[in-house]
Amino acid sequence: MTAELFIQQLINAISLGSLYALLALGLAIVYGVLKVLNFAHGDLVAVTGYIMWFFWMKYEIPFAFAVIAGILGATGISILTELIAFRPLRKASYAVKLISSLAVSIIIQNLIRMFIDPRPRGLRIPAVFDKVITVGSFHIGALSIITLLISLTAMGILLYFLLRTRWGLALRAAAVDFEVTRLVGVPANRTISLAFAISGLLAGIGGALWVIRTGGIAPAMGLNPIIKAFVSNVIGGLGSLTGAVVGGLIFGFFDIFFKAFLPGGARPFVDAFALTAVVIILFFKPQGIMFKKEEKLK
Amino acid sequence: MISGWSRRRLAEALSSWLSVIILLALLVVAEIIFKNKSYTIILTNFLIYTSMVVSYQMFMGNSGIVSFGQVAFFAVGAYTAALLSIPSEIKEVALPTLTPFLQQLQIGALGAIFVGTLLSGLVALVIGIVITRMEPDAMGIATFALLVIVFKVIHNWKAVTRGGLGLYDIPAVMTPAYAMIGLAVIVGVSLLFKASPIGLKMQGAREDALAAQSLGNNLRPVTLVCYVLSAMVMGGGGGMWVHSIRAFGPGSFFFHDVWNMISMMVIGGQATVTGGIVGSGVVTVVSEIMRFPEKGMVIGSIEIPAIFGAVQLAVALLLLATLIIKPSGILGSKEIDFGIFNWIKSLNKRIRK
Amino acid sequence: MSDTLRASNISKNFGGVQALSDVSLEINEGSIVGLIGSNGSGKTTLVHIITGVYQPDSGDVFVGDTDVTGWRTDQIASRGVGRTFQIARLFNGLSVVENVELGVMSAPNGEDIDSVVDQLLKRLNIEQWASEQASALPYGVMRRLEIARALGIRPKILLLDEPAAGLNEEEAFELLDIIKGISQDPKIGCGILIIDHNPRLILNLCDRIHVLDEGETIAEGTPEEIRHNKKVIEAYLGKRYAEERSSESR
Repeated sequence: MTAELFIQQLINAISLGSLYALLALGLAIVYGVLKVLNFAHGDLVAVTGYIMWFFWMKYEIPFAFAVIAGILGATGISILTELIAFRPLRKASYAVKLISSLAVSIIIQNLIRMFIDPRPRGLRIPAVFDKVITVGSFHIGALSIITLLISLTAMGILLYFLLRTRWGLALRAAAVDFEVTRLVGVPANRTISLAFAISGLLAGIGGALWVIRTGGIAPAMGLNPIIKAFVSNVIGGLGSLTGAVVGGLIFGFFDIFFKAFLPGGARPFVDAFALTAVVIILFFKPQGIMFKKEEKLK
Repeated sequence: MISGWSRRRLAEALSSWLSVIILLALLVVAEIIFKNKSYTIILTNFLIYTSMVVSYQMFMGNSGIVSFGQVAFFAVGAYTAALLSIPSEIKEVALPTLTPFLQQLQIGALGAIFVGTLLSGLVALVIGIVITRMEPDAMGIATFALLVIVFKVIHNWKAVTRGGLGLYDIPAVMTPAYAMIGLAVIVGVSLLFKASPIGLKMQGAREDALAAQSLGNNLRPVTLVCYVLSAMVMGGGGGMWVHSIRAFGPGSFFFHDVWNMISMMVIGGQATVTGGIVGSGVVTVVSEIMRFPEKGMVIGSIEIPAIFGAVQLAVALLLLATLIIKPSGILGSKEIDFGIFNWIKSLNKRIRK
Repeated sequence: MSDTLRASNISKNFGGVQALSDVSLEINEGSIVGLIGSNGSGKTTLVHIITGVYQPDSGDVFVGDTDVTGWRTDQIASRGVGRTFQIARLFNGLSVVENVELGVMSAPNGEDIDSVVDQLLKRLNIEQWASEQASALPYGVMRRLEIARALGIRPKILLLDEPAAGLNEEEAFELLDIIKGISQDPKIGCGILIIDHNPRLILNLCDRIHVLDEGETIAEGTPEEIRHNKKVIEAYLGKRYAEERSSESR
């Protein structure tokens, strides 16, 4: 294990971690206002991927536009799911909301299977993403750098929005206490739709990066992203945006480093190890890393 | 009088149980009379799937914790029972690297299922001690992590499980009648738990944890007992299942089954044990109907192409509709109960006259 | 022998806000103690600390000879301290009977659970609602259900947080009669703490009254003493009213 290899893996880990963080953030924004983890968030990645496929592979529209179309599509579908499934259930219990998000997820997946194709498809990824940049004796993939840059930019813009705009303030207030926020006059419906829009946007960006990374699409491809996002949120601490980012980075680290350092025979068990590590973290910090084991009046 | 038990709740549970047994018996008798092959298969599947749902409801319904990982215990029970039930000659060929002790060990189906149940409980105990310390959200994720871990272990511990190839030649002893008995036992255990003091405490914790604590209930051991019992029943269901399908593999235990289970439980009514039976029945019927468009069919001279995803979509829409229109499910909070005791009482009155 | 609840020198600070400063309170079996004070004076916080929901920064809580400071809520409840909440926390998905059963099941002593539950329902006048779901009850019945449930654990000390809040005059007085009956019933004989806003209710019912203002004890004594305590009147009803009353009593 040379220092160079370590640093290369470190960069990979930060890059992957930032992707997870992006996906986790999208989930956390909706969690802030609805107090439930939206299972269908992962399927927005699939939506992005399929739109990208249509624009790029079928109609041969330039890749950048395909990506933008995908992101817009994810945003739109996200808002749509809120209108159809989550608005009628706003007063429902946590378990009901969670299960209904699961139902929405299955519906999206099967609509894709039904109207497009149940089989997986590949995407030809533009060559620019395969480039490897050499700095001294370090070899860094262009994909890693691009992922990192885009994720950081997106998170930066989000941060600006949350901290410096009125609607950002409304979202933050709603995350702390929705009822009170409504009482002071912030419209509930628009706030929640905004949350879903931002969430969809982040899912679209993360989804595009995901598809570029994996080069393929399939109806059930949202399962992996949602697991990463879910777990990142829980490790970091539900209800904390910083926690989502921290959790994403940690989980990214686990994935890369377990894969890199596990002996060959144990390689297939990477996910098992990563998840066991997660459970261990949760054992000591049941409320996530960002929260102390506080007295909470439930 | 057992200390702490409410006679009223026990009587209600017993009445429900008898009603369920009558219902199931009717279904099985119909099978024996009509001997329709596809009905037999659907019925057996329905009965065993229902065992899964009822076991799942035992934990999630009573505790309110959405646990994605209970299915893992179904897998533990299934593999354990299969390993102990498959004839030794087959094991020598299929699992050559398995320790000779296990290769030679072959106990009857009943014993195999029993051991599977115990092992599931043991695994659940170890895991439960860890995860009942967590918040409900964290616990849901932890159980999901468990599912993924179990799935990965099954896939990769080839010496014991044959990985993705799965196990085969399990003695197919599970007839609808046996499945019915198994389900009746599972339903009985579940109803008994719900009526017990500890079951009620679990429900109280589900409704309002702080209020439950203010009555002197320590929630952690209660949740643990609920978790372990539910896991054991799941394991038993898994053991039963392998004896009806003769061959299986790890593909059976992942997300798709979790999803099906949750749908059945919610549609039927997650607050009740018998809701699982109703939900399972509804989803089974809907699935069987939607299987036709899913495969594509020919009506007269019109050919309808296969509509992929029809089955899952139909169930998902049904689930969503249930959640929006009647979130408490078809049964709501009342168990199936034909009022047998009242019926007997009124019979008695009429006889006395 | 006696199970007096004794909270001594309780202080609690929440992120810069001093919720309680050096508050001491005692509740004896068989007596009714009133706890009054304006909103935010720390009444509910004190109850939360006594029942283990929060831990005090300093001070201790004794039940009889047992130091329960730092114990968990369920442990303290098992030691005989029951409570109701400012906003009723019922088991909404369960029936009235099941709510009370949960209380009774927590302290089984060989008696038939069902008949103990029925007795409690009768005592609180809610037996006609027995099989209703807790979420479908009228407000007054909800509050009485919460008390019936708390009584199920056979408490030595019962802490009632604004039990009459939201009830009309008639319902409130009916409730207070029931509470008086509980206190005087030799079979139960628990010490009761009542938090309430309405001074008239408290003054009529309690043996002793404890007054909090902004986390501090400003007065303590019999209803008569409190009624004429200038500081109390000032804090509670305002300086002008205090002056009017003192000019009245001349």
